[in-house]
Amino acid sequence: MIGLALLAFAAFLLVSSALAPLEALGWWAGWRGGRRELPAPAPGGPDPEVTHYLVYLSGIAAISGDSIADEENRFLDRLQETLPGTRIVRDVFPYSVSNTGLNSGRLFAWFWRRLERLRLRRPRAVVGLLIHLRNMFQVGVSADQRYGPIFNFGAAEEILAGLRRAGHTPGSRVPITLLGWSGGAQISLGATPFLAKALGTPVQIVSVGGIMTADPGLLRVRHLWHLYGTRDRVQRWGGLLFPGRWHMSVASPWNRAREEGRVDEIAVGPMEHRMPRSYFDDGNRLPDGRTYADHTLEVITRVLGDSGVATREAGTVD
Amino acid sequence: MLHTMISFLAQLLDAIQLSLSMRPDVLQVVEAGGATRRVTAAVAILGGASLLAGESVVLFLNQVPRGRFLLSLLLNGVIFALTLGFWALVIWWIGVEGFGADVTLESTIHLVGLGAAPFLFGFLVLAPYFGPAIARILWVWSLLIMVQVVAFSFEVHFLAATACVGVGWVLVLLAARTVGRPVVRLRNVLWNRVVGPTTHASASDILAVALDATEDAPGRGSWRSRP
Repeated sequence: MIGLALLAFAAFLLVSSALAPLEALGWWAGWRGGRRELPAPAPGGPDPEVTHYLVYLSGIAAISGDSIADEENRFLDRLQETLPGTRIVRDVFPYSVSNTGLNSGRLFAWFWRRLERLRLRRPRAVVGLLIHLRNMFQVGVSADQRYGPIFNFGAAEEILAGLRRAGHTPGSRVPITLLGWSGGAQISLGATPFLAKALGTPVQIVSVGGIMTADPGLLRVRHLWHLYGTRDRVQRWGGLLFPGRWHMSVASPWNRAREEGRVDEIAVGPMEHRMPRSYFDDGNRLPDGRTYADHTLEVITRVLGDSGVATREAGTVD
Repeated sequence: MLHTMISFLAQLLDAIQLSLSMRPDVLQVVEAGGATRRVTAAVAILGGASLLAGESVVLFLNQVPRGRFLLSLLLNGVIFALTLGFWALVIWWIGVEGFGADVTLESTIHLVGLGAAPFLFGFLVLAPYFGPAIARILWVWSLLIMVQVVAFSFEVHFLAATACVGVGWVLVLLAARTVGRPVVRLRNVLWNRVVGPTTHASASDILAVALDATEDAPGRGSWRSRP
């Protein structure tokens, strides 16, 4: 009986993963969704107050661009306070080429809505992992060189649309940072070449517990800071699962970027991948009394400040 | 009519199950049930169509419309079945001439068709990241079935069966590049008629061209959605 259940689960995983690329491929082939136009640029030109844009791409638990977890929102609010010249874009759902959340505009939206409600009532419910699974397969699509560029093109387009909605003006060359948590880091890497080319400005990435392949996007990223928790086993799997990140793959984009000093791997503390001890947790504390979220915030603020793209609020800890 | 269809489907499922479980006498069991020709043709055509579904990225990249996409799956199934037929001819020839096997060409065609059963899972090749590895597993699985069934039906040693199947495949590839060129050309013409012109480029190549073509002023934030 258990064997049969395991077999059924394996079959479910295989079939689901094989269906995963169809959304991006169908979009590219023109089978679904018409040609999109980016939102019009803000009238009056660039906002002189904004010297840096930061686009947040949530982890694989996300269900839509406007429905991210409370602790993530709190964290981004604090990040916004700490970086006053930075405008944060947080309405991009990175696991869809059309920015269509799971809970609307889809045939099975009702199913995902039910799952979301269930997850809100019982955060540890196993069925909630279906959302993780679905989004994890999209991370795989982004990483697959057969069709990854198609997915990443669509993701870049959605990021550009998010930037426009936030007031970004084409040609302003305001620096862009992508902040990717978990699978959001892979999507960030994949979208980088297209963004850099379209915007004509260097793109940098902050990965928070990111799951990433040795994506060719690494050859175009200005700098990647990979923040990881020492107890985050999920991000460690990313390093083991993708051969391009092994030390022996000397010519891989990952190792070439490291060689060129464009990748920094920073251990930020004893964080785990998922709540309640995640990078954004404002309950658990380090021995010095700071919360996990405090420390993650400080590291991100420091690396962005040191890189010269973001201005920190006076009094921020170095 | 309905009864015939259900009976055929039951036979087809039985044949697939026996083949996937690598039963050496799968051909004899299928032959005992009748409708061998239709069952083996169905396995081969469905296998070919599924395999193309798994390797259909190039069709999507070239923005093939839905109708043509479905037609191309069917066409690939038929082409795949014909290729297997030719492979069977070569295996039969090697078996009879080289190892004195006492078997008919028709039976050999049937056993090669049944050996294609793993390709029914060909659509799984689409799976991100692990897809190419799945394709290799399916090919090895299919070859193992074929070797086992050839050894049993031809009543030859495992190594002789391996030689029949392996050398047969090499000869099929050689023929495609030499005497079979007109046939390959005809196949390509037919393919282009059904699918339309395809560039067979990779995703990266197509996007590089698309970006260059759609950006009228690089660095100015210009962007056009998928071409």
